This record gives sequence, structure tokens and C-alpha cells, in this order.
Amino acid sequence: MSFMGKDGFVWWLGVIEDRNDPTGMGRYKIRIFGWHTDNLQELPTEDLPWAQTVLSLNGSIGWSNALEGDYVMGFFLDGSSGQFPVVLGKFSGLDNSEIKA
Amino acid sequence: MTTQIYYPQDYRINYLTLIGNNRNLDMTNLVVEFSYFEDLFAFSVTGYVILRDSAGYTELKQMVGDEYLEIDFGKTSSDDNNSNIVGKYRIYKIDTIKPVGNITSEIYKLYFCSEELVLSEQNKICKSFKGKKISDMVKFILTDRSTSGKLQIQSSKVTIEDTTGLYDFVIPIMKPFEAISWLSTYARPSAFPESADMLFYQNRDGFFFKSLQSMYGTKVFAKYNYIPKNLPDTTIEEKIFSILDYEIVKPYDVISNINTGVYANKVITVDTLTRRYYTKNMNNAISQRKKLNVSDVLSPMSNRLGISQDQSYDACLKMYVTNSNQVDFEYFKQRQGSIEKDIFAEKYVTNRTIDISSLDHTRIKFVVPGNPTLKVGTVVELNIPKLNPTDKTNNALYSGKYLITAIRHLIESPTVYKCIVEASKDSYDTRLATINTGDPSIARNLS
Repeated sequence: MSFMGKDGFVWWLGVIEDRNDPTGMGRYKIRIFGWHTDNLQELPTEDLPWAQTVLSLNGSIGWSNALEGDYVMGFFLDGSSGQFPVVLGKFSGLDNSEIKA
Repeated sequence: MTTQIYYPQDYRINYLTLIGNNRNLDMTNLVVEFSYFEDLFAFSVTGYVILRDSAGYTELKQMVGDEYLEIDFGKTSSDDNNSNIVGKYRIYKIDTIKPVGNITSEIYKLYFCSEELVLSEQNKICKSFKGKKISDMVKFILTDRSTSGKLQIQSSKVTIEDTTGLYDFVIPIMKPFEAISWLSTYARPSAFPESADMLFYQNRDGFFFKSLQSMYGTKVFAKYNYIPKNLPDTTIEEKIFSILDYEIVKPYDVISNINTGVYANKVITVDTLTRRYYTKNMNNAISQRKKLNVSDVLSPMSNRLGISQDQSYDACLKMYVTNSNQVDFEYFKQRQGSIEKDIFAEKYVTNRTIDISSLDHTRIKFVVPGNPTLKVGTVVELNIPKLNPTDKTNNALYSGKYLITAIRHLIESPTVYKCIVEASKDSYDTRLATINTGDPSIARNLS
């Protein structure tokens, strides 16, 4: 990448593994499909980068409405380098308990 | 190195053996042409062998894509086996097979590369590194001998220059060689922390993760002279180190230099977490990088708007995300583990832009008698004479130290072994003299 925004929009799908952001800014640790291995030895949750969220401008500050296990979509600020993920939103869908039932 | 030189282009092939599953084939007598390539900007040595085969070995030896090629060649006159190019490479492709001589034989081309390149293509790596030097990450990727090691290269075959700075990186699922190339863009050599010029390449001696600055600092590997041909009093040593032919492929290209940031560049970085942005300008004067030769390529002349080449920062404008200075925020200091380590975006982007692009300011392609010890990443000194035969001094613009960026060892007949070399330089060997035309608008003094 040489110019953020002109070199393509690299988007991704992932699953939230941690939402306890020590800064209280509503960031998430997200395991991104195809970018992060599902091998927890190679890449434990704590080593995942914090992903900022893009909030809507409708007056909501609701950054705590996504939970571990939620599937989310986002993009990388640094393109294909993949070190600065940003979350755009989460997918509606069955939660794990409903699937097991 | 030599005991007795018979002919500057002499050579000896000790092995050129195809190794398959119990179906080895000595190909020495089948060779029509043999090429061995190294490239400073490629991950692997590559090459090809053109064979003339009258026995149908592709079928007899069942060449199906799992063969290796064992190579050992050097100078006939050398008694030093260490000077030979020796290695075991993977044959990855057979080119078009053409029948010749009323189907009494066929000609085809076998392409080879390092086995590690094939391994890299077959694997992906995804791993987190916390608070590690990039040189340690590269070493891990190349040499990790655990079951999860993707390449497992012997440490003796790997040379890694130490880098500065500790980083938190998650290598996003990538091929191992791609991952090293990606890491090299961030890396800054510890001996030259103001540069960002690490390269990953393979030559005859192994794999290297090395900075351009350290390559520039190595002593001249060989001196080559362009001398008139067929002079009766030319010694054999002079012939060995003579340039048979040359071509200045890129004397200079101002438009290209402006756009690639040779003279100046700028980066805007944005930190979305701390809501700050930074702008950093870089040019040859600010850059603290070493040069191959003594004199800068910059012209002190200004354009008609009064702007010199090294003030055109906007010509090469880049924009990146950053996390610079986050560690200095008290808010984050009090919350351990809340931020990743600084990637030094302002440093690596601007410095790498100028370091890498500057190397290619002047590029030459030249041919010399075959020398198996000649390799990429080494500095050679070229003496190109002036066109005026009475003036024995060298051409000031095109003589001097060059870094070998690509080399092809070519054997094409029983008597021809030559090296076709591409080399680049970022500076002039001689301080250019004042050229005063009498017109002050175009007078210049580069000394």
C-alpha cells in the first residue's frame, strides 16, 4: 500500500473473541477469516490486534452491542498488511445456543 | 583462486545431474545452454538448462515434475572448490519440447529454482510476534526446525542482519517468502536506524536478509575495465577482469525519479485512535543514508519557479495509517496491553521510498568472462573510458562503484562461459566539474 484509500478497499469477515477493551473505547479482538489462523497456539486471542469501530452518526454511542461470537464485517486501514482492522458492523444471525438447540 | 588460467571464459561442469526417484541422469553431455540467475529483488535463485536429447529421457526417466537438479560448476583453472557454484535445485517446469533432425532427437528446456521457493509456495504462515525484532521474526520463519516450521533452512545457509525496534505483528496468512518480503518493508537495520532498506534475496551462498547500506559498505569485490579488444599486450588477468560489452540501460530518467521519490517524498500519516495526523518530508539532504560513490546525483539547479529537485516533496506523496507516539499518552500508559507497539510509519515509509528508489538512479548492463564467485549484493567497480582515446581518465558519469542487482551465469558452448550482469548506483564517482556555458541561467556547479 502506498496511499490509504487509493490502493483498494480490503474488507473482511471475522468473529469477535474479546470485547474487554482496556481503553474503554469499544474496540474488539476479532479473528478474521482467511487472515488469522484458527490455531490458538499460533495465534492466541490475546495476540489479535484491537479493532476500532466505525460508529453511526445517528446519535448512538452503542459500541457495546456486539458480543463474543458475533460475526462482523470490516476493513483494514493499512490494506493488505492487515494490522489495523476496523469494524463496520455485525451480522444478524442465530447465536450459538440456538444452533445447539 | 587460480593456479593457471587457460582462457578467460573457461569452465568445468563437475555435476549436472537430474535426480529423480531412482532415475538419475548425468546431463553434462546433453547441455546446449545453461543459465543460472540471481536477482536482488527475487526470493530465489532460478535458471534453466536447454538439452538436446536423442534418447527420449523425458519418457525413459519419467520426468513428471518431482525431479531435482544437482549442479557443480566453476572454472577449469580453479583449484578452489569453494569458488564453484554448487547446489541442489528443484526442477519445476519443462518448456516446449521440439523434435529436431527428423525426430532423431528433441530439444527442451528444464527450468529450476530453489527447493525453498517451492516449499514457500506450498505453505502459508500465520503467527503473532509480540515485542520482537523483525530480524528475529525473519530468522524464525526461515529456520524454525519445529514441526510447524515451514522452510526449516539450515542456519548456516541464512545470513540475517540485525534490525532495530520491537514490534507487535500478526503475520496474516501468507506464504513464508511473502511474509519476509512484507516484514522487510517495515524493517530498519540496527546499524543504520535512519534507513529502511532491508531486502530478502538468495544468491549462490544462501539466503540473505540484508540492508542496502551494509551492502554499500562492503569492500569492492572486483574491478572491471572496458578495454579495447585484441590488444597484443593484454595479459590473461586483464582479460578476466575486462568488460566484454556494456550498455547504460538507464543513464537517468527525471520523470521516473520524481515519481518514485529519488529526490524527495512526503508521507501523511493518520492515527484514528488518538485523532492526530502527521506530515513528514524527506529528501536526499535530510536522509542520512550512505552512498556508493562520492557525489550526489542532485542538481542544485532550480526550476523556473525557483524550486530545486529535492524540494518537490509533493511529487511522491504517500498516505499511511500510524500509531506513532501512542506509547507517550498517559491514558494508554495506565492501561497495559491496550495498544500495539509503534510501527514507525513516518520513518520507514519515507526512508524506504528514498533508499530503494535511489539505488536505481543509474543502471548498467554489462558482460564479463564467467566468474562463479560473482553474485548479487556485492559491489563492483567499473572503469568505463572516455570516448576520447587520448584521455586516459574514466567517464565521470558512468564509472565507479555499482551494486550487482541481477546476474546471469551463461554457458552456451564448450568455450563460452560469461556473466551478464545488471548493476545500479545511486551516486557519481567523481565530483563533477563546473560547467559554465556563460549563460548564468544554465551554469551549474556540482562540486
